[in-house]
Amino acid sequence: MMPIESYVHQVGSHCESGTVRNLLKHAGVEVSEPMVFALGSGPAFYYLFFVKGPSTMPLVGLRNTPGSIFKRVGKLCGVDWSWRQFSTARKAMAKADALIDRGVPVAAQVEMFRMKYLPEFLRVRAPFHFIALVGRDPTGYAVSDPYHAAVSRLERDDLEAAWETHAPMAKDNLLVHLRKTPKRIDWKWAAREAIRHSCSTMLLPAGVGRLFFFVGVEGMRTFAKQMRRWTTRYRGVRLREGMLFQAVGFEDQGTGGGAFRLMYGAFLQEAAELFHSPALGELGERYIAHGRDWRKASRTLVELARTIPMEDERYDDWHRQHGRELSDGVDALAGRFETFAEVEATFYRDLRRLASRLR
Amino acid sequence: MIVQAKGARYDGGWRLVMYDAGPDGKCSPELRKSDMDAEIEVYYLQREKEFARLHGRLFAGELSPVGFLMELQRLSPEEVATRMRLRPGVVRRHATTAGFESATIEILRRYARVFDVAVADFFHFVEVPEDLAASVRQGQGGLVEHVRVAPKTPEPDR
Repeated sequence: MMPIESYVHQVGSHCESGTVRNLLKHAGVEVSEPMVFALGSGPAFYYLFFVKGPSTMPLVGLRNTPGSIFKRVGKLCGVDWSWRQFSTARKAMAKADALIDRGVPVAAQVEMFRMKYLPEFLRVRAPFHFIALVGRDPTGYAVSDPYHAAVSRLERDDLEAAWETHAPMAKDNLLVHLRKTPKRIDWKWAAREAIRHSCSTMLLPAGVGRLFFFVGVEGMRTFAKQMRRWTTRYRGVRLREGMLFQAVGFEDQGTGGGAFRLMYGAFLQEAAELFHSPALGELGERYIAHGRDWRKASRTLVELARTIPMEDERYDDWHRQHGRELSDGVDALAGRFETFAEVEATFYRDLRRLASRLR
Repeated sequence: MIVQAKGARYDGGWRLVMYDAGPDGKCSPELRKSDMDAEIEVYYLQREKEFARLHGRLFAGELSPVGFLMELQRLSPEEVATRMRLRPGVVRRHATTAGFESATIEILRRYARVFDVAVADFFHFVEVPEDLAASVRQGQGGLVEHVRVAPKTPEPDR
């Protein structure tokens, strides 16, 4: 199956920013993935204590809601996206077919579970994955997925099931395609607005921060506090998997490493060149160093989790001998996350001050 | 359901785009192995153990085929109910052996779609030895299934 002529597939760290970058590139707009990510979302922190993750520990969100990258890139760059949620997957597929036949790649938000070209361990029940459909034949589609090295084939039945899941919080049958790009994009203005937005996401005003204790820097503090309770609240395989899942979420789930902090650092370096601002470059370096510390903390989390036995039956005996070491290790790690919260509080205050001076 | 005697294994080929600063201090993307690559194999081993545990419960009559797949895929009755557009209580009932018998074929078709299996898979397990391979042909929307088990064809020399 041939993809649309002139469509160039590129891998990416994150599915949504990678897909947006690939669609913009197809339309002739050259932009990096860190720039797309920073304009569309930027790093965030949500300790979603009311949502249980696959590991039974509360979910941690590290970016803004799925779809926000499309919307904010559209708003800040003047890109006109057609954004439509169809009542059924069949209707969405009929529209996708018509667009692909005209040479227009389309983005779809689907469940990873049915993306059979991905290895099994990645195919989780998450209906928030963005792909681009870039070709078709009567029984399947050519899929450009930033997580996969090459354009892959997906059967129509699998796309239909992945697109229309009726799962909680899913945007079923969402189809996005590019209608128009502006003649000129004011990257400086877009980057400055995006930086301001990221600062306000991470640093909530004092009163609001007390109410939304799970958002931004406050959320990081809450997460660190809750981390100290892990060893008493969870046990056995649940504890092991929960800790591993947190580390995977920080590093491997499309973040580019260090919970998106490294990718955002790359953006700040790019923006420093755009504004000819050495001060912004220095902040970028600070944030990259912070991202690397975060990556080290994730590795420590994995090392600690690996010491826990894989069978619940062995946990009590193991805990009698090693429980103290584990809780000391988790406590030390919680301390590092408290430090990360303070580092980010200072960093975003400095970034906000600098952003107001950028011209 | 087709079960290979030797379960799926990780081939070590997974790469992802990670950012890091180079010697010049510039942060750029690089396609590389995950830091948690060693854990991926553990994932497959744990899945195998989980399958064996749930298979035991299924044949002991503690779970219905719906309950088996729901636990295997780590879906809660609430989540399956939302996906099926049923009440959670109905899904919980179908997850028991007695309740499963009250499910209609139409309902089983909807469960099969959620779990990505054929309706026929609710009723049998076909275990395929390591030196054999199974090919499946489905009819009537997964309601009937023809399973052909044959010796593996050797991979061509590269």
